[in-house]
Amino acid sequence: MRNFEYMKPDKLEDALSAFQEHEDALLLAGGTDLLVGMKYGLLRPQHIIDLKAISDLSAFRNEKGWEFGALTTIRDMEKSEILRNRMPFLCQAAGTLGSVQIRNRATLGGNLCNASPAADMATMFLAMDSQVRIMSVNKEKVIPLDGFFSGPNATVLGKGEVLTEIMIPEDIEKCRGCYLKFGPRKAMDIGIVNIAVLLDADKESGLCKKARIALGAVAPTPVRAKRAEEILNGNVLSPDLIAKAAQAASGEINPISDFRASADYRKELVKILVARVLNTLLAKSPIS
Amino acid sequence: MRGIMKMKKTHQIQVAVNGEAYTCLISSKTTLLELLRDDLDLTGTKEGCDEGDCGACSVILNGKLVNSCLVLAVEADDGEITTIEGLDRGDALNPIQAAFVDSGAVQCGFCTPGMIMTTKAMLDEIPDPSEEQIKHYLAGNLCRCSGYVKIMDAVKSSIKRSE
Amino acid sequence: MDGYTSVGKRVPQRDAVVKVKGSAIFTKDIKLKGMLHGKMLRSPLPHARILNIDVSRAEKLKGVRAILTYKDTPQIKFSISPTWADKLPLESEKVRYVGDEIAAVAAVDEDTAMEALDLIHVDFEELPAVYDPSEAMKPGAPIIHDAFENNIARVINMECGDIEKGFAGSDLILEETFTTQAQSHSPIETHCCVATCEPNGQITVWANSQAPHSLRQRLSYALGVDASKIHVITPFIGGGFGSKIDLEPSQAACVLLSRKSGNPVRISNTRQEQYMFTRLRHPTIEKMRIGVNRGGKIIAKEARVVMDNGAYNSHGPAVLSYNNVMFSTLYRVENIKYEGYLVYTNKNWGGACRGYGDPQVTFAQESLLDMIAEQLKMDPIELRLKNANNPDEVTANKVFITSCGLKETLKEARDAADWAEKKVNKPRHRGIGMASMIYTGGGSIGSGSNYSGATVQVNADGTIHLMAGAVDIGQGSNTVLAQMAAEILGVDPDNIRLTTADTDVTLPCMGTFGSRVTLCAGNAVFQAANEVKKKLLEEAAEMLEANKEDLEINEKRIFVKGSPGVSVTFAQVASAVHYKKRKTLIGHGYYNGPEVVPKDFDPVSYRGYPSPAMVFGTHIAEVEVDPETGRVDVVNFVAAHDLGKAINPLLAEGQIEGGVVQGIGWALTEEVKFENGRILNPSFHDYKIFTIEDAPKISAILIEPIDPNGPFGAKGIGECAMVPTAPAVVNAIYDAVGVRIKDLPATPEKICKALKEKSTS
Repeated sequence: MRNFEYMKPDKLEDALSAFQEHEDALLLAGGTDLLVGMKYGLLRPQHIIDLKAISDLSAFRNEKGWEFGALTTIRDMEKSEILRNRMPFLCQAAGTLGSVQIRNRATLGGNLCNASPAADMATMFLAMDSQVRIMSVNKEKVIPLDGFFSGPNATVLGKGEVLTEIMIPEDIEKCRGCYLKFGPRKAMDIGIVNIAVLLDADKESGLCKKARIALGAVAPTPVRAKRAEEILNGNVLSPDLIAKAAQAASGEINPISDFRASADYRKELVKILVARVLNTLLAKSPIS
Repeated sequence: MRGIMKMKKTHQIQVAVNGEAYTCLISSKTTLLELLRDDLDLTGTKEGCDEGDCGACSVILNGKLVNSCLVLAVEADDGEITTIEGLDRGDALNPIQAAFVDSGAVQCGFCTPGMIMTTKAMLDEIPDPSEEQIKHYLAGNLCRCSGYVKIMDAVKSSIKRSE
Repeated sequence: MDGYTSVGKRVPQRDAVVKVKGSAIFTKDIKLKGMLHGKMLRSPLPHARILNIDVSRAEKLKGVRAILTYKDTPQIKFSISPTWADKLPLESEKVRYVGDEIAAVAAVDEDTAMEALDLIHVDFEELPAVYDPSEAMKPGAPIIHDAFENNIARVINMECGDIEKGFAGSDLILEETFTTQAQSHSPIETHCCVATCEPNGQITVWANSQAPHSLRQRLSYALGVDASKIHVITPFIGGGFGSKIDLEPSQAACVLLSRKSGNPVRISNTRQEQYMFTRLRHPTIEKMRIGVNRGGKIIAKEARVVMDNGAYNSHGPAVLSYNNVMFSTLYRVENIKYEGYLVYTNKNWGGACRGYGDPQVTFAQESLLDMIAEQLKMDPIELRLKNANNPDEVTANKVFITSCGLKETLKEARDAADWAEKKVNKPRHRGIGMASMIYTGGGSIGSGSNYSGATVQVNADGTIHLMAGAVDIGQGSNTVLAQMAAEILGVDPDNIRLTTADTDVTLPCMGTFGSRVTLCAGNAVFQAANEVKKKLLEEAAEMLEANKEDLEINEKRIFVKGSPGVSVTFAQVASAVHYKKRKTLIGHGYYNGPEVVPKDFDPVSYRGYPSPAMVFGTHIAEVEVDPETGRVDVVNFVAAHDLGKAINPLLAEGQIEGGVVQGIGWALTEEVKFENGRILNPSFHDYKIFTIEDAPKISAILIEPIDPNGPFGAKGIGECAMVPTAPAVVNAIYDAVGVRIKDLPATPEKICKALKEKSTS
């Protein structure tokens, strides 16, 4: 690693103005992606702004929906009892990322801004109808997470813009959900295919009120399988309907072939695993 | 948390390692792993990959298990760090260390410090973990010699010894 | 039961305490005053002529203390044997793989050294490259080493009996082609070397080498330096598995950089460098044909193997020989034919990798026998039992089998795995599979020698010091050798001080590989300890005025049998000897292969192959296959190994368990992936070794026939435990879902594809 200038402001406005001032600056949250990129020489910032002294960026709270500070660690989400009670699928997803060592440092904001096509939190939060708050020196805006990712390791963040908060609407809590990461090993893998599914279905009729399916590692960015969602939304869930939706999900992605897996296999996995997850969630519902 | 308000290339930091206070002059780019091994001569913490994949560099920073290769030393300023050297008390081994010795869980010994630090962090957090919990917690520590069988034995034995 | 007090005991490694404390010194822990950091400049191209190397800009960089090119070396090619020498420490004319060493820099820190590398300018003339060994063998393929026509580095042709007649007389013949992939050893500690050079030319090297005495010889050879000027010391080693046997070009560079700069120099691999530029398991294409009679007896077997050498030799020729001899020696078969080709390609080169050619050929043979068993409607274990080797036999390829526990490994594994029940009653998508193996249990004399030396010295105060050349790479040889010496001398192993693997102090040992240390170094220790015991007893007899034959030793005390009150301590004997006499109490042992080398030994095919002992084993894997995704879960594993007398069962189990998990990795998830000569996955996150979550429950069973050539009857175990693992797993997958994977690794994608093809056909 080349040496660099480092600062650790304790006020957000100082961080924003420094970020605006130094064009090459990169933001340091958990460091588990940034430092690797720097060690490989892929990232060569001359300035680094450490955000960890800014209070309130690492808290998460429940007001109308949920608000997560960008520096919330993955481990804090994984271990949170309140999250486990209210959104267990989020804790489950958090637990698949890296190792305990990584999760103790890695942050939600870092995972989203690194924007790997296989990013675990990105995929999960995409399924959760998230919005993100973006701040810069003179501006603040809130945009949907869907549309935040623009390509492999690329986001719509412009010069001087910092992701500060991730919000999810309250109706997400009504959903049952599951995050599945498929790889050759049981741990420490970059997924060949990542699947996040949320389902809000009427307990008696089985009518699907809301279905959200997000897929990772099968496109340049994490993506929503919207055609599959359309097949489910407003219909009564059944294994046949689920099979149709899974087929649709497989059809609406265009993954690459790389040394980890071929495109065909990724499509096949999406078809199999989306169906499997949906059927598991269906089976947990009292109607079947 | 103390901030650093101006951009700097070198920093004077204070760290407490295994209960001892140190003042160190470091570059921004110095990792915690380098600080421990090169500046403080605590070579028990090992470098296996330098990119957070193997856990050989695991230490406990402010109560949390981390890969020291992915923490900048400056980020650890004012921090409390426990390394493998901080576990035993002179002649007496910590129960986890003793369990690793007796169970045959130590072959080449290179993954061992990291593995023991992770075990300690786990038992500090979960005093009586299930086998599944043990596997999930230790998943970030790679061993190439043992096949993990006797490491699992050692961890289970540590639980008993700590009771 | 056998009356031993140390041998056979489950004692923890004697080095375990310093390892758990973090005070064990590994090579990268060494810091010397003024130490510089070295980095290698490597070829970015897979095949090219070097036209010019310009180091002038790099020399001017502040902090750079020395730069080397081939001009700083005597340009002597080396390999593990001079006859196979094809590699220069720094290449002068050509580069032959992405990573080939061209120059080296020593600087005040690694960052400066890396910056200096960027400032070295090399002009290349790129040449066409070839990556597939079958293509490389064809006329017209780019020639990688001028001396080798068709890029063939070695050919082995061996025939026993009458192969045509054998097949003609077979009731069933099956033929298949199997391929195996490159595996990386992936030790958690990367290669590291520290060297200093005194003004008088004395060189000291600290290296995590599995063969320090051989390293000294090879450094001497390649650098044109008298071996007596080179002192090699091995600190603790963080795993080897064969990757740390050779002379690495970076070790040679480290020595030369320290000589040129006048400072100590350290060169240490990053994880990425470890994957890209250290040795690999040789990939193979194995075409195999086996003929049996209706009763299951193997009548004839034939293999045609193409082994991918990569760019340079390393152990390649010997690995091909082992590939042959293991194929030819396992099972009692009269008619055998082997045709093998070791072929250069422009890729990272193969080397010694746990099993040394045996896992590759065993994968083919044990898969094919599984297919034969199915066609004969015969139990696979029964088929092996029908053909199993017996003790005290000479095989068709003239190999002596002394002790042999193959049948016992088959039976005990079968019982422990509940084989009969699970073959018949199993849940859907679960399967059980087995495979057996043979390997050397005491190294081999194939390369010309098989030496290990040891000295046992009793000091004037009665303390005992064991000095042995053998290297403990984590497998526990320090502990085992001390247990042997302790047994003979009637003391607790903790009473034995140990110095190993220091070329100035310890007698030579060829190195730690070939599962040779327990037997070879053990025999040396056995001799040395017995010699010093004899001297102790002679002195004590004189002091006690008794007959030597009437004396016994217990806990460092020598006494007359039946009269424990009449005794002297080791300290008293040693004191009397050193202060009153002109004698010492030192015993030496030196072992060098089996007693008799058969006159028809062929050093190429290894026919008539003299290893002091052979070892055998059987693995049984139980798997669950996801029929949709193809993902395989190994749910249970039994590994039974014949290792002669287990000197330390706890450590032997550790070897077996570790080998099994490496073997399952090779079967399912590990593959070094190349594209146009470049490695695509040089990291732990993309080269998938098992985590604790992936590792199955393993039952290690020790079968202990006493071998006449082993100390206390012991043989080796280290490499064996990953030899039959892959075929056991692949056979289990077939048993579970009816698809047979013939090219490793058996990834979920391959299994998924095979399942789809099966359902459509």
